[in-house]
Amino acid sequence: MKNFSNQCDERQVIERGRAFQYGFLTLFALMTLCFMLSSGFELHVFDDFTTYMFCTWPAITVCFTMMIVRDAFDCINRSPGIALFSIYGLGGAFVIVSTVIEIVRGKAAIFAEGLIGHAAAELLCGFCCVLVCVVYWIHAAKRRKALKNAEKE
Amino acid sequence: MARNIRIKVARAALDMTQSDLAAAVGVSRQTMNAIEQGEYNPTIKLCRAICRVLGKSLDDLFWEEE
Repeated sequence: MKNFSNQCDERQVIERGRAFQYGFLTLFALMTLCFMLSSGFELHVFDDFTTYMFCTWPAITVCFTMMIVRDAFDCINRSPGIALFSIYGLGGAFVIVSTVIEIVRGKAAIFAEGLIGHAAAELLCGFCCVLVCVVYWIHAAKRRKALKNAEKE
Repeated sequence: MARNIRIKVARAALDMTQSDLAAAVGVSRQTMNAIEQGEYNPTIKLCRAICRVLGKSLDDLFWEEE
């Protein structure tokens, strides 16, 4: 029988839409928070680069996490994202380790000139990558277990 | 939404697993599981595909008795 879609089935399309929606709302909320802090309360907490990273990475992480948890990332006619997320997680771990080394050597700082600086943004980026990778691996393990149980029934 | 035990019974009668039925109708196994658990309300297109594969009518599998 012909598939309904070349990539995702109808439930996965809905879940993906929901994940993008939550990601967008997270981005919007964080951008509003940054704007309120800097313009509303005259509190300059982040530099420009850190503001960008602080808004985007949590939003991307929320979007990916929702897709993974709701079984909407690995589509029916596509190879699983194990390799992709492993590289993603390793990249995140590399960013964390290299940033920590730079902080220890004194080449980077979490606080610079009274603002939260680049190093904090890089740590956040790395943490988000590792978090998504861990969520994917845990969910993949749960899915394998569920498949075994389904085959037994 | 209530669990749809009738799909499970119909596929068991044909000795099909969730994965077999999901592959036959072109959806993921998780989606088929969500339909059986009553967590997802499928479109009429998918309902018809499931009925066709299992050799049942829409009433047999999806009509909710009051």
